[in-house]
Amino acid sequence: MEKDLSQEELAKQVGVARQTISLIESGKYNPSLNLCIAIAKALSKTLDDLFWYEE
Amino acid sequence: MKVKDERLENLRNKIGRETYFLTIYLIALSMVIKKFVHGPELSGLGSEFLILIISGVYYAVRYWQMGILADEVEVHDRSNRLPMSTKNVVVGLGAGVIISLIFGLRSAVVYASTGQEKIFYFFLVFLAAFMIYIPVFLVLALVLNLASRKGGESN
Repeated sequence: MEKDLSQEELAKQVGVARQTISLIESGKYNPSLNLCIAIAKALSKTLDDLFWYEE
Repeated sequence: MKVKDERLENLRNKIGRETYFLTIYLIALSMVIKKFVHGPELSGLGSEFLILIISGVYYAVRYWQMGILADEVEVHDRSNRLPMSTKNVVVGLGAGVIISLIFGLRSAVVYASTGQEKIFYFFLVFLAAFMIYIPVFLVLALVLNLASRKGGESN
């Protein structure tokens, strides 16, 4: 992810385990909307930037 | 991408968990009732013990295997001054002291007749109970320490 945060730092900021961030990145875990928003805020991004992709 | 209804899935998981705890409570109730009916001996409670032990071990192994414990320790240690391992040792030793105190006090109250005997019985039983508890505590601490490392599966 951008903003030069490691998975560990992002996990710390959001308050979840590093494994949770890793699984979201690899698409193996679907986060709740609350968690998505917390991640987006931690990275100063919008939900679109992070989670929207064209099919 | 196929979308699952998370709300329904979470509710199903919740009911599953509730059912598990309900079953455990019912088994415990069954043990209490059997003890009332058949008296203090523990024979006839084997199947209940077996169910409790097997389901407990299964829960613990899956908890470890899925890495939940390791992740919980990570999140806990990040936001707390005392690491989880230290807390476990403190709580474990504290529990040992309390259990030994209860045994010691019980012996002093039930079996001793003179004041001096009460003190002697208390310390004797307290120290003996604590010495028996120490190896149990060490094994538990070791298992917990190993279990809080990363499990096999990661999702």
